[in-house]
Amino acid sequence: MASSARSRKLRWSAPFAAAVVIALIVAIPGLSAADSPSLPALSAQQLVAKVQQAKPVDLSGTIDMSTNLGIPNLSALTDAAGGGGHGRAAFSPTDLLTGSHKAAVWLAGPDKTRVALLLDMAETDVVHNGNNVWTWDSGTKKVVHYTIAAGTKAAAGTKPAQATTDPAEPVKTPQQLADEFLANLTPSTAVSMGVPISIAGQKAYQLVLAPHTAASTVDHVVIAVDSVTSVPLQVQVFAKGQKKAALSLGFSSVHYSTPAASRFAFTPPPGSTVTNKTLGGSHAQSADAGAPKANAPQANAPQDNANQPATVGQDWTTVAIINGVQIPRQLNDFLKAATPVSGSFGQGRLLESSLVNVLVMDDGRVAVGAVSASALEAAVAAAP
Amino acid sequence: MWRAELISQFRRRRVKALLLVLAAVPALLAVLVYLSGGPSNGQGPTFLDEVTRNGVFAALAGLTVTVPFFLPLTVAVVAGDSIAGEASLGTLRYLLVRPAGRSRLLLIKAVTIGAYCLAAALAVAAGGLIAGVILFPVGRVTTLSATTLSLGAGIGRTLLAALVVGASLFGMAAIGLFISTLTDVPVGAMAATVGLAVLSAVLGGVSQVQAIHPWLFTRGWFAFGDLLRDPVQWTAISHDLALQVAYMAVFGAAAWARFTTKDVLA
Repeated sequence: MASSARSRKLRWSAPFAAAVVIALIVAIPGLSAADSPSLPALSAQQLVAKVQQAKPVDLSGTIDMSTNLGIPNLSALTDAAGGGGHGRAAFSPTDLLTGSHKAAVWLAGPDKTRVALLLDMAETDVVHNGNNVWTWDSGTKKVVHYTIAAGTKAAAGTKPAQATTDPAEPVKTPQQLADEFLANLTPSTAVSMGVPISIAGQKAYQLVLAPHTAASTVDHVVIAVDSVTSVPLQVQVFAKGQKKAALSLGFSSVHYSTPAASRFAFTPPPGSTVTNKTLGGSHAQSADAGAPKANAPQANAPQDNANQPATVGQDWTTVAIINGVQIPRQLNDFLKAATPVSGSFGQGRLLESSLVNVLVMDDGRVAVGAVSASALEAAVAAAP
Repeated sequence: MWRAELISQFRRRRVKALLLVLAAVPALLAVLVYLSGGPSNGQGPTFLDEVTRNGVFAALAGLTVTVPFFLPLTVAVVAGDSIAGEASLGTLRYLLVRPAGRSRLLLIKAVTIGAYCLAAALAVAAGGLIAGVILFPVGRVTTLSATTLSLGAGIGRTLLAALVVGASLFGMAAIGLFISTLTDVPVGAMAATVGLAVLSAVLGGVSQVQAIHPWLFTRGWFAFGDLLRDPVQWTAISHDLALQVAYMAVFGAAAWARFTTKDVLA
């Protein structure tokens, strides 16, 4: 009986053995991925030049986005704000302020882009093909068709996704984000090289940008650039005093081949409602107004001129001030919980996160910037 | 013995009733939509607003509605009953008298439960498809990515979605089988299995425990929605299926360790 008792006990090791094997299967690829790939050394200048010279590459891939701003999930709040039950959109831009998201992207040449934000049982698509930009929300079945006026074609061609409005605004390829940061390279920034990294199976150089100014909430920005194609594969923004990236946007898979042309053809499906809009023309200026300012909110969405933000400061300390903002009633309770502040600018409430601070003033002005709270107040006080 | 067990399981009045009720859920949804005119765009459960335009969506809406609770509940009933039910009826002794051996009996039970998972999800899809085709027009199926699929491809995707849903319940079924070997009270095993599924779903909604989210067996229950994209995004589905295999390995081994060493008194 003794041997039988031992074999009984031995059998119970089977589930634990299975668990250990699974843990190993999961852990081993992670360990090898953590190894830094070997790449010939490159200076920061060489890398930036390499990126600037790189030809646009056709690709398809999936992107993982994660946001860690140290603020609670706002989706319940936006549901309340959008309430009334007029059909729920699959996506609201505030969703991107918390948690992680996935997107699929397809790029072919300068004027064909498709970005699909993959949500739970829903999807938001932005398709740019030549002079046409389509946005689609599977929740409301709403299609918006933008026609780009001839004069703005070139500007829209270089930054396709920027020609779109709010549903797509936060969705950018790493290429677009990195371009914005690289355009901003000035003496305000310390540029250095990080350790090479492997992303989506590609060997990549890492460029580290750190602002000199203490007023910025940004500690450093890391951009991973494919060593072969020079495509930016990952952008991470680290806030001061935070170990985890406050913003992270990177490819989880990438294939360098031209996607099928049908991927960029959009036909409004049956049952959808289509709204037609024209981009450019009378709004020609707005198409490229906000492009190079990484920290400023995008000013290129067609909107009333009264709400056009004014910017104060430059580079890392840029603060956008928007006039005449109507705060939805549902947000009042939320604002009351924010820190009250006062100064020569008047009175207001301060909403803080690890990366972006927002000052909502009682006179209807709203200031937004990736700067410390005191720098934000100073910028508002100095604003005309 | 394989066929005998499968046939006897699906001939059981309880299993037949469960499958029938599961098929009735999307059919009932379709009838309600038919009578009320259906929700407008963006309202109600996912896919339900599409049903009036295309009956195929009754099946997908049915899957969406039953996946969070009803479908797993019936799986918990079947899995929890598998060993404990025989034990409580006193029939387990007679089954073990056969020379097949305990390991083989457990394997047969596990395969039967797996077959039930797939059959249950297919029953939902079939009920929805039949009701949808009778009550509504059918045609090209609009994907979440705004493209359209031919009717045949759309029905194919729907059935594939049902199979993925069925397979995503395997992990929970394995847990149920393990719990069923622990007790002679089938209701207890069923309740414990449902309880664990609810716990897993609740933990999945708590952002403070984000680290364990990829490991929750309820995590991928809605991954089948990715089949309705164009192109199909396989990452979440394959991650979910791999996770189900992991759960089957661990809890299957635990059930084997328990069942082959337990004293069968009843």
